[in-house]
Amino acid sequence: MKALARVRQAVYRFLAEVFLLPTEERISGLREAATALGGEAVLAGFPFFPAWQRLLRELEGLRSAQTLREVYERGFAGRGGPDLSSLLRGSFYLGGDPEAVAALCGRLEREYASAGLALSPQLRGAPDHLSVELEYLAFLCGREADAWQGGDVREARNVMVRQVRFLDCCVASWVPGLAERLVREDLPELYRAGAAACEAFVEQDRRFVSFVSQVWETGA
Amino acid sequence: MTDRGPVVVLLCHHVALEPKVDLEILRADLALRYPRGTVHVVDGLCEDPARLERLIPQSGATNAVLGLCGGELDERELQAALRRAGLDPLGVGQVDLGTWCRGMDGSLATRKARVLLGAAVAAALAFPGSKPANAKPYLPARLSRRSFLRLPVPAYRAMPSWDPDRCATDEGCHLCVEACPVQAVSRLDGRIRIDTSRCEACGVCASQCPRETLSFPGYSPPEVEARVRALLEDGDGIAPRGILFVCSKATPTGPVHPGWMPVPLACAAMATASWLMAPLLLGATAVGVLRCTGPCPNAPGEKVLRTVEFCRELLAAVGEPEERVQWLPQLQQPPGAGLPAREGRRRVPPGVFRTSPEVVSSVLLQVVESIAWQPELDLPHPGAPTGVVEINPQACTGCGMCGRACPTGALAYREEGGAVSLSFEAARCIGCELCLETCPEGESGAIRVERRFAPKRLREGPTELCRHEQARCVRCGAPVAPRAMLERVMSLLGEDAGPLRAHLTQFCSSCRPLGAPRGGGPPQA
Repeated sequence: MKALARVRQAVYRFLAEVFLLPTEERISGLREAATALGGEAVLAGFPFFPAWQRLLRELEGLRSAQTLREVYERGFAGRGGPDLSSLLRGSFYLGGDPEAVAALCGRLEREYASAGLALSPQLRGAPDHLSVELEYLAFLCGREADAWQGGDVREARNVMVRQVRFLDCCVASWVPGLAERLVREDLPELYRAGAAACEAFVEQDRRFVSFVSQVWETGA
Repeated sequence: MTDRGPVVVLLCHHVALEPKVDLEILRADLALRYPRGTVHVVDGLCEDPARLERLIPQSGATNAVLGLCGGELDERELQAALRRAGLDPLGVGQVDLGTWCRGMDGSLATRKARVLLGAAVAAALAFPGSKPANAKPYLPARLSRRSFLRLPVPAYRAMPSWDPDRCATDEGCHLCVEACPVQAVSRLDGRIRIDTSRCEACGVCASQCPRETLSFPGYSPPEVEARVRALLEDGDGIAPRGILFVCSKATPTGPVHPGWMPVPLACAAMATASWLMAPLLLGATAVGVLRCTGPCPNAPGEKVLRTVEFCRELLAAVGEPEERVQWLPQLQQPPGAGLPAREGRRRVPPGVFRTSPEVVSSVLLQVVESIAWQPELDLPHPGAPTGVVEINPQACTGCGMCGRACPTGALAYREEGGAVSLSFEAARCIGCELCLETCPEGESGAIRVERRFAPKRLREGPTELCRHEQARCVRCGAPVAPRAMLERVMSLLGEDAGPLRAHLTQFCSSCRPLGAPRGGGPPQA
């Protein structure tokens, strides 16, 4: 379980990085991580594996980080192109209700703060950004792995309950919408593959963690 | 083969030992029939599924069928190997040749294996693909808490997923919620939610949805139909042939007559009346249902029994032996033992396993027609998949709520020419009673629904059940409401309604504020 939690942590972190500004350094880090995670046999045990492989193939086939960066800046950073920056934020999928947006951002900031986390300066004001939510899940998986390592099953289970709650109310509720939307946008295939991998992994992980909790409760 | 891409057939070499399948003949025959596909005999396929990883990519296949000996197979390892080979494990057909060809001599076992594998190839070609929401984790064996720290990766099986585009839950439909035997399906904020941890993946919700809103890869209507057609169309000297719908948890305990052709279902309760009857149109001598052994967590027995009973009564009513449809048939006997052979197979266009009401009623009508057309037949039965709605015009107020609630469009409410009308099309009615549930005059007997099969009604097309004149606004001439409805409201308000009475009956909703008594505000009773 500890090893599995570490792998899940790495996948969440990987997916979070895909949707940040693609600098040379970041792309090179992603490629290294892809090589390391590509050897994780356990990933083939999960249904998201085909989507994951597709993402790795897109990353491998990526020619120029510079071109990708320009596309990202035009689209997701909203500089000079059709502004797609809001697509990566959970609040976009709330139907434009400002009160709901404020409530969501407040709830997320409280959630992060309760775990002892604060948003980094470049992401301040965007607690609902896809990368932030995925990074937070990576953090929770890390805490879960620590608990398993220390033999603290109760704590591990508590963290898993927290993961399910977060997935249900946040990223798992809107990532399918993002994946559907990105199919229609003129963007590099990497982002479509990234969104599909996010959708598949988040759904699978929500089910897996709920399943483990259920197994724990029923002992069967 | 269609353009969906080739299917690779992988045979466990143990099937040459028990059952005694001649693998060389089987391989040559399959290769001849499916030239785009590939057939491999794999040493130790069941012991080491990882062997598939090399063979499948070499074949260029987009789906696979496994012919298994019935030995122990690690489902998790198999699924991982299939994923690494680039296939979706939920679409890969597994045929347990060990069970279904057991006890047959070599030639018969080989022919039966070919028919079963051919049908599995047909089903694999019809696989619609799966979504992340279709994968439900499970552990193949029980797990103690002690082993919790080393929880293995689960295996995954298919479960239904919801498609909002076709769903009528906005109009109040909750048939899938009602159908679920384990209360895993619920409605929330106009959406259908399926609780993964509760869901038993029985598929009853999917087979009961008249809008085909729930997709269940592996057991979808096109896959079931492709398999049934292939099992019945494939000539190999095996006769008579019967279709046996088999619960995924059921295993026949004794020998099985080669004529019984298994069609796996997630749960026996998925079998609808049209699924039980369609094979008879396609040439089956008999149709059987094999439910799981032991207590069923989904408790489908009563429901599927009602369905089987309806099919049997319908057959009997048109002069056909009711034994053509059997619950728990004697599998060692040939299908339809003692029954006369059915007349030649009919040409039936594809799509007869769809669950939309028009298809269901059309299949039943075709069965009746193929035996003896009896327009006057009228068979009331709680297991009937069709219904008849009757309106009492004296009690109906023409409010139209029934029409809006009808998930299939069997009841249609129209406003035209200064009147409202309610029409009914029996071929679309599934007897779900959602109209009755929503009718405000239900207690007065305004609407009556009965599950019944009445061929004449099914052929009639839409017929008007009632018509009500509309009251017109005295100010602008717009329709206010059906007069019958206003009279009903007035009778509820009583004699003391006074100015409110005139106000409500004379003005439309736009003009009511303008027509209000001086002083503003709503008129006081």
